[in-house]
Amino acid sequence: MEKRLVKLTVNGVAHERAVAPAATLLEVLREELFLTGTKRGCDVGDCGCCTVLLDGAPVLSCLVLALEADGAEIRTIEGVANGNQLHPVQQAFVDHGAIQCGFCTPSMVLNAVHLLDTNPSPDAAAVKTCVSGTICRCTGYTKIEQAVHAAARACTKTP
Amino acid sequence: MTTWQLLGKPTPQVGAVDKVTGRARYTDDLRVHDPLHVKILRAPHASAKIKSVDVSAAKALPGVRAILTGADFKRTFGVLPISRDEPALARDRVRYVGEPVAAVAADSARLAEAALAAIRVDYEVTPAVLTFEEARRETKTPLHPELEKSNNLHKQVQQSFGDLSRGFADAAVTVEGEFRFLPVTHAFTEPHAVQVEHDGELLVVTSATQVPHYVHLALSEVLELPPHRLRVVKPHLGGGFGGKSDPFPHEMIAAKFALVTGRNIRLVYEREEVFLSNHGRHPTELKMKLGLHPERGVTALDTKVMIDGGAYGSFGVVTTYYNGVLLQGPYPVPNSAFQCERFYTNKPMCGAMRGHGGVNPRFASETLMDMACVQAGLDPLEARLKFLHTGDTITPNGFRITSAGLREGLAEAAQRTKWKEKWGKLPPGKGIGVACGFFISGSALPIHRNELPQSTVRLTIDFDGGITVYSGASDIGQGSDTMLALVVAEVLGAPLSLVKVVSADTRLTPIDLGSYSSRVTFMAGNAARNAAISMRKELVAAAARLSGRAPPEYPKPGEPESPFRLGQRPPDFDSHFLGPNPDYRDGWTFANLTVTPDGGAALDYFQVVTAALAGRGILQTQGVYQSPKLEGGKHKGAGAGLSPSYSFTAVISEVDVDVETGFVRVEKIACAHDCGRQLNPLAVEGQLEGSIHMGLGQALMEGMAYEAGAVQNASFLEYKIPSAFEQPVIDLVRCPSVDNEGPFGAKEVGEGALAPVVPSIANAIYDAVGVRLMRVPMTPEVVLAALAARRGR
Amino acid sequence: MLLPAFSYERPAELPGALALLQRLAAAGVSYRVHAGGTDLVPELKRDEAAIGTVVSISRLEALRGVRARPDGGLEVGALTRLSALAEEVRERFPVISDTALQIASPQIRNRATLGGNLLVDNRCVYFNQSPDHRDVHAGCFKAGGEVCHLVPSAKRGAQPLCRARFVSDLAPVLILHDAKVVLARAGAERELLLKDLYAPDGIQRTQVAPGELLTRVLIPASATRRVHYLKLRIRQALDFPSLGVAVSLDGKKLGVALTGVNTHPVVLAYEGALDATLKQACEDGPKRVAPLAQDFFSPAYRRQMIPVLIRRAVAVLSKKDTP
Repeated sequence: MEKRLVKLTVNGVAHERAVAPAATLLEVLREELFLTGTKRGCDVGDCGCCTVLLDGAPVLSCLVLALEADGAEIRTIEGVANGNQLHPVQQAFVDHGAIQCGFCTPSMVLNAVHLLDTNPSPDAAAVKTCVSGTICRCTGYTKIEQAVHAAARACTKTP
Repeated sequence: MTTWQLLGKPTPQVGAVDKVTGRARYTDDLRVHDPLHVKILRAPHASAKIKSVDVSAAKALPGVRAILTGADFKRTFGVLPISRDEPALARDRVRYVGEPVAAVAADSARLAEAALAAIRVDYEVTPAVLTFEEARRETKTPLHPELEKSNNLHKQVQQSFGDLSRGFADAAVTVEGEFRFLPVTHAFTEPHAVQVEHDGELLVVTSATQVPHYVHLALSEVLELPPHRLRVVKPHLGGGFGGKSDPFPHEMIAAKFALVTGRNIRLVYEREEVFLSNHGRHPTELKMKLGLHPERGVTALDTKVMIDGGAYGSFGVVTTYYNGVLLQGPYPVPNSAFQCERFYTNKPMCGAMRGHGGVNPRFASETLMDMACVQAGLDPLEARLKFLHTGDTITPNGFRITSAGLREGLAEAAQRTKWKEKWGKLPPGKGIGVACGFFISGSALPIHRNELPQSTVRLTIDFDGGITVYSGASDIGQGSDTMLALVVAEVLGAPLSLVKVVSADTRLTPIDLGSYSSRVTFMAGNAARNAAISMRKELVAAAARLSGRAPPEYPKPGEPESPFRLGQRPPDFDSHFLGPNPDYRDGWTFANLTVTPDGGAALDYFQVVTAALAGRGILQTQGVYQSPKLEGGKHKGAGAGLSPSYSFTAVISEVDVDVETGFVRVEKIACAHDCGRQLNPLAVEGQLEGSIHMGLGQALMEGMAYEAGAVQNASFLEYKIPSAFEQPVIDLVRCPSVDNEGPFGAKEVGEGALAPVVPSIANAIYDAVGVRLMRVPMTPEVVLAALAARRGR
Repeated sequence: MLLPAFSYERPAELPGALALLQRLAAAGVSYRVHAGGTDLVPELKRDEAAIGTVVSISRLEALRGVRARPDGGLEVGALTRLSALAEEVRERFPVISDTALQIASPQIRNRATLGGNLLVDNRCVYFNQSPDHRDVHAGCFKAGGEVCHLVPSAKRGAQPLCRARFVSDLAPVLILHDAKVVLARAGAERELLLKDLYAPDGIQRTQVAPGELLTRVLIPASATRRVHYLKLRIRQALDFPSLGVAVSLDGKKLGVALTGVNTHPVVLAYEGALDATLKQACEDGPKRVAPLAQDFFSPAYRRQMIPVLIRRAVAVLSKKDTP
């Protein structure tokens, strides 16, 4: 299995790695770039925990061959905060107790960041849909949805 | 008690920022130096003799560094000393599909996996025991011959209190039912993982575990290594719910590989392996009969339970008891009997899962309670309000119930849900139902009988005034680190930012039995509170010196005025255990980094710390929690379910039943949970919302599907956890309750609320469409079948 | 789960891709086409069988997007992602948009494609398992073995050999729109009615020949036809259809297309007074399907729900009729 060069821009940093066709984006992020904020919960596209933003859209990195991401802009959970300044979504998750074990949190946050980027005033259905792609076993989703709504309000207040 | 500065306010978790930025490290996120990767070969048969295992071809493959088989482990293990029946790797025989048989450590996970395919295991398939009927049968070849039994009964318990036949004679109505429950599993999102590193003579085992202490003990046994050569560490953990509360084979295997190879080890499960390891809630068949009197409440309760334990013991003996003893609440039951039998079968083992042992019998008792109320012409909510336990009670089996504050909460929930206007009056297909529950706040008796406190906390203050809490309690996402920090900060008047919690590291942190049985807030919280009270005494002494005052006189606690009021007495500084939840008022106020004597001038906290450190270098105290010696009665198994305190819950569910498809939509759930005083409302709400989610899943869709002993739905796609779309609107109702012995008046909130969720939905379905469901999960097909059966009558 | 070794090609242009497919087909190399990867990657992870080549078409931008056709219909590139499809057809074909949004999860819809959903592999509880699990029950025909656990009497040569069920949500809806698919191969292409794309077998599932690639979907306009889709599943997210019922009304024509309950989409067509056609469809539906015990819901239940959902879909369409 011949390795090939893949170019990825991850959280604004350009990387070049030689990867085998069988390597997933999740593996490259976690094992090569040590970006372990992206979680491996099921590895077959069911749990949602490995979500990253690929060219701005949330995708499951366990289902993306690394070679498929060649040339793409990737944003992981490590790239959401601006230095020590939390993104309003992150702050809302903290403040509203939307976090228990935290294993689904990176995915939930990235999905919510994308939602608010594309739909600054989401209704309840849009928020539920945004949350529905990730399994959370701790919170029953309640506080996560509340946090996304709160973040939407915070974002519209401070443009 | 003075007003709280920190407690009682919604407080985000201390690690929340790390979790929300991706900095939080979970076990498989750690990057130990140059590890070997481990993969496990699993049994493809539910029951078979292992005739031979040939690893020679696998060993010869490139990159393979070591292979282990059952022959490499002399000792079996198990979380309970009475059922240490599980091997790290199967020897001689396999007892379930997925049982670990051999393991490979190689330079990469890929090489390890390739090597598994080269291991040759010669099996002789033997008849599998998969059902209750098969497990009850006489046999010459039971799963566990060492028990010297002629069938596969693992544990049988029987208890009876009062006079059952007189109880039923007293009843105005008697109802009964036969109930059946599919197995459900925890389905935490972080798979099991372990990493092992060498640190000189020390083997450092980092594991996703709820119980570092038990893992430490089991590793020592299985590896035949003195305990002091081990260190077990739990980093951030992605959910447990009981599913990480046993020591596991993979921990034994990884540590053994580290010993054998001298290398660091990394092992992480695939999701399918997590399902195969299970340890979830037991499949259950249950018969129950309940007698009710409209004035006197439950007069008699007769329960017969069979639970399918799978291949090994796990927590099963405890589960067997909990299926009966937790029925002693939430109402007084003067006359009762229960029998529970746990069987071994050729399936992955069952163990402790949120609401341990109490969930399925609660479904039965609360369904029957509802039936009895309807038959007796009682409003089921008002009847429950009337019959609930009051505080300061001893149950017939000897449980000491201290605080019981559900009554007000349930009344409030009834108002908020407009119960009176809805129950029995909603349009067809819409229904409302109620159910109550009762759960322990930790077990009064430890698993290992010894003289150690159940929880110990070490507290230090260093030169910089920084406060460090060392606790063995395992934060599994429930927020126990935050609870410990809050409790200590409250006593010492420090901001949360000054407090660092070091937890769940068996070398650095004192013994704590782990995060299960809803014990942590009550026990570790009390230990932390006591450590902080002792620290406060040190600081007060220094502050008194600085301000030229005499140190306070600490009164002796004396004898308690009542066996229900052991807390809120002066701390007993003559004993390591100051007492549960002592009243630490000392004539000083600690607030906002000042230390102020009554009627005196404020001293700066840091100045006081510096004075206290003079000549000592570090301030260090310890606090412990030890459950009071509860009587519990003289009967066999009297210790089971004994707890220093109990929680109470009421759940009101509102449903919409589609009578054509059988789909049940749970629209709203109101939940009143008596957890004593809420130390951190944000965490309390989170626990309740999570319990509701899990109860909803078991009620409507979750169930492990087995065929020939193999789990057929070992994925998050096929094992149906409710999605965000299924979660109902939740209304949480506070109960104005203060537990005398819980830290600052708190008791459990992690588990108790789950159980009544399931029957509240069943009772709401009855209100909606008039059918009683006795199969769980209540899938659309179960609902339709019941509707058809009613039409057929 | 680790992916097995395979070679990987990612052509930049359609002609190159078709030439490659032709070469691989001619050489008898086993290959799989990768569009969004959301169905393929898990299957590859679970498959021990040697895969020759993965041909990724994800760079073929020409196959992405929705274009209006002169007749007022739409031409949709097979590589159009489901989330984009939902956006772009919302105005013209809201039911297609709604259906797309009922598939899997938002993250999956951001990768999964229209072509991928139409060609999504058939599913079975005995097939969609790890290789270890397949060892427990012995590999089934679809997994390269010699048994069907659902129909133990099945032998090689039987038709159908494999009963893995068809699970596309979009197929029944597009079938009732009389959609066509364009199958291209090097130097040529053919059009096929979508309903004729499928074959009644869980292994040989489609008419796509070796070397062919599904490139476009043609959705004709109709001023009178209205379609509704109802999806039965225990959770309102993530799950494949346990049963999917698409219903169309067009004057006196009633159409029904069923998914999730057979090896292929089952299509029923009637003409006449709605009372009569509806009654007939409700009678025929359960008889024309072959659900097996390979889903959360039992075969009997899924059969039973067919008339319920047909009637409900008709009710929705009739309501839309009378504003």
